[in-house]
Amino acid sequence: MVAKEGDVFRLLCAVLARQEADIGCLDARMLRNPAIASALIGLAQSERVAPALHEVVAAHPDWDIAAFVRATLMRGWEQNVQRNTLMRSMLLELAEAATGAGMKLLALKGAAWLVEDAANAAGWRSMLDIDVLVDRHRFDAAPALLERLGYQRASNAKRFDNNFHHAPYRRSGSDVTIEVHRHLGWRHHLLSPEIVFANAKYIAPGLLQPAPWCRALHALIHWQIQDCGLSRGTIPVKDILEVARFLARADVDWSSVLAQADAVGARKACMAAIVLARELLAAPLPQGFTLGPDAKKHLERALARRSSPISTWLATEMWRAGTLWRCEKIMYRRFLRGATPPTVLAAVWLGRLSRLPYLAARAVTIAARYAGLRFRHQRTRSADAEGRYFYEIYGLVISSEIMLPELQLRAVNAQLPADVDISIGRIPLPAPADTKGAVLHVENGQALLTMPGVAQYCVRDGSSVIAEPELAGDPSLVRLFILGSVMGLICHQRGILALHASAIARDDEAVAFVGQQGQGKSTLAAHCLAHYAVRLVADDILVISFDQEGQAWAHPGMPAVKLWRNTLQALGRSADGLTADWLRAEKFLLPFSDNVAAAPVRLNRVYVLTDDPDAGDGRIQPIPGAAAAALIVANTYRFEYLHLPQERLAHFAASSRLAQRVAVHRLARCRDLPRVGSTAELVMAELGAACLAA
Amino acid sequence: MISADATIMRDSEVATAAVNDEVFMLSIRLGTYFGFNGTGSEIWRLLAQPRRVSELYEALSNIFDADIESITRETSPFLQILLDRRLVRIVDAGAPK
Repeated sequence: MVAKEGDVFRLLCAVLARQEADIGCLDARMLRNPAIASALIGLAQSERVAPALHEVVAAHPDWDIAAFVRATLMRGWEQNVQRNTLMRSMLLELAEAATGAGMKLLALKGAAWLVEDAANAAGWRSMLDIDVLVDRHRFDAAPALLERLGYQRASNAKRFDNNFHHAPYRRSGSDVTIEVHRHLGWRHHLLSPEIVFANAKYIAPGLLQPAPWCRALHALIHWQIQDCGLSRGTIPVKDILEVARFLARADVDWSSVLAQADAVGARKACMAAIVLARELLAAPLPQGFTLGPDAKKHLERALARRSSPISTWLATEMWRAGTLWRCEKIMYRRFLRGATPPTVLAAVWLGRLSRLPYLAARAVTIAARYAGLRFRHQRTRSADAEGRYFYEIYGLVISSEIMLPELQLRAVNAQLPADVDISIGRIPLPAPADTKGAVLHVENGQALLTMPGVAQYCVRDGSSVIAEPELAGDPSLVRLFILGSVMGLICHQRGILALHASAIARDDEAVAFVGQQGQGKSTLAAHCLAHYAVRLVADDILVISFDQEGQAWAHPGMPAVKLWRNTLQALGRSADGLTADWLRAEKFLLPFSDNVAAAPVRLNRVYVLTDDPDAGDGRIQPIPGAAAAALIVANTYRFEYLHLPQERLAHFAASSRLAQRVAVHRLARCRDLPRVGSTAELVMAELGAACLAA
Repeated sequence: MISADATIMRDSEVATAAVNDEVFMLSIRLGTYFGFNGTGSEIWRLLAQPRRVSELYEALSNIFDADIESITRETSPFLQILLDRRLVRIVDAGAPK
C-alpha cells in the first residue's frame, strides 16, 4: 500500500474526525499496516496533534491498530498532560504574582484551554509556550515581574525589541517559555486587546479568560491572517483541530465572531478556516452557517498543497515571499512609534521596493529549485504499483516497503529486478530477553538481529529483510540499522566483501582508507573531498566486488560522511541542521550531493591508517601479502557477524583476493587534526588528484 | 619433537590462499586466520600432498641451500605449531624408534 504524503494527511484527518463514527473499511486496513501507522504517527507529531490522536484512538479500543502505535501515542499523551499540567501551575503562579504587582494577565490560545481543564490540563493540546496578554500600558513592567519569579530572558535577539510580545522567558533547567503580549499579532487591529479585555472574565486570581467567541476568532485569525494565509504554506492540522473544537462548543457566539470579522474585512479568511474544519475534521457547523461556492475551491487548494512534499515546499516558499512583501512588521513598528498613516504607508512602500531585487532573485532560485525537485521527484517516484521504493546502494538493488529518505540520491527505477527486499512485519522468532547491546542470533540460516529499543531484524538468504520496530522504535533509527548492520549481514550472507572504510575516487580510480575506530578515515576522506577534485564513493560501509578479470570494484554507499563536531568546524562547516549519529551525540552525518560517485569505481589502493606521533605528515609503506590479507579481514564491516562456515569461507576468499589485487599500504602519520591537510596532499599526490582552487 | 619418519599433510579443514607469494589461511575448525612468510609458505606448499618429514627437510635443504641439521633445527618447532593448531595432521606416525 502506498503511503504518499497526501494519503497519510487524509488518513490523519479522517482518524481525528471520526471520534464518534466507526472507522471506515479502507482506513482501518491502512492503520493495520505498520509502515503507514509509523508515517501517521510521524505526521501527527510534526503537526503537533499526536496527543489529540491518542484521545481518538484510546476511545476506540476496537479499532485494529498495531500495538506499538497505541503505545507510542499513549506515552506521548501522558508526557503532554504532564507538561501541560506544569504549564498550568506556572501560569496560575504568574497570574497571582501579577495581581500583587497591580497587573492583570489574560490567557491566550493554548493557555486558555489549560486553565479551563483542571483535570487533564487540555492533554490533547500540544503547547510550545505559554502566551499571555497584558494591558499595554503595563507591558514594560512584565520583565521585572518575570525576573522576580526566577525567569530569565531566553533570547537576546534584536527582533524582540519592538515586538508585539516580549522575548521568551524561562527558568533555568526548564524548557517551558512564557511570552507576554501587548497585542495578539502584527496585524493587531484584527482583534484589539481592548475588545479581548472587555469580553473577558476572571477564572483565577489575576487571570482573565477571554470570551469563547474571542478565542475562536483568535484561532481563526492566528492561522488565516496572522500567518498570512496558511501558515508554513500548508494546512496546520493543529489549527484546524482547534477551530473544529470551537465549532463543537455550544458557548461560542458565532454571530459576534462574524460581526468582528466583517468589521475588519476578515470574513473570507475566517470562512476558509471553517470550511477546512468542517470538511476535513467533520466539525459541526453553527446554526445559520452556509458554505459558499468558494468552500470547495479552498478545500481543493489546501489538499493540493499537501499532496506531495514538493507542493508543500512550493507553498511554503510562496508564503514566505508573500510575508516579505506585506511588510507587516514595518507597519506595526511605525504604529508603536505613533506614526501618522501617510508616513506608515510611505515606509511600507519603501520597504517593499527595497525588497524587489531580493524577491526577484528569490523567485529565480525557487523556480530553479522547483524544476530540480520535480525532475528528481519524477526519477525517484520509484514506488511501483504495490507501493515499494527502489534504491541502488552497495551494488545491490533494494526494494523497500518503507521509504528510505537517506537514499534519495540512490533511488532507481522500479523496473530493475531487486536483490534485497525490505519489509516491515512480525518476526516469528522470540526476541532474547533483557539485552542491552545488539544481539545476533543465527538459526536455520536466518539471522535475527536485535537492537534493543529500536527494532528486531530478520535477515534471510542475503535477499530478505523483515524489520519489526519496537514500541518506542524511532523510525530514523529503524532505517539506520537497515542501512548499516543489516546490510552488513546481507553482504555476509551473499558472500560479498564489505569493509569498514571510507573511499574516494578520482576519475575511474578509487582509494580506500581503513583503520580502527577513531583513526580518522572519514576525516581524511572529508578533507580530500573538500579540497581535491575527487568524489565520495562510500563512508563506513565499502562494498567490493570483482569482475571476471579479477579487478576489484568499489560500490557507492550512503552519500554522507560521519564526522565529529570539531572536524566539521575545521572544514568550515557547522553541525547545525545535520543528523546526529545515534550513539555519539557529537558525531554528525554530513550529506554530499554533488561530488558523489554514481557508479562502481576501480579500487586499486587501500591505506591502513595508523597513528604515529613520530611519523609527522605521513609515511607510506607497502604491507606484504599475508599481513595485508589479515588487515583486510580485521577491517571487515561487522566481522563479528560472520557466522556460518560458508560465509567465512566466501569472506576469506574475497579478502585474500583483494589483498592480492590491490596495493595495501600502511599510512602512518601523526593524527593531529591540523596535519590532515599535509597527509591528504601525500595521498592525493599518489592518486594524481588535482587540488581544487580555493 | 616430531619424528622424521612421520608422514604429514595439510588438514582438510583449512582454507588457503596465496597472496603475493605468501600464504594466508583460515582454520575452519578454530575460526582463526594465519599468515606465513616466505619459508613458512614454502613448507605449506610442500605439504599439499602427504609427505614424510625427512623428505620435507631434504626438499627444504635443496631449496634454501642449507644443511639438513640446521633445517631440522629451525623447521621442527614450526611443524609442531602447525600440528598443535591442527593446520596439518599426521597421516602415518612412522616406525617407532
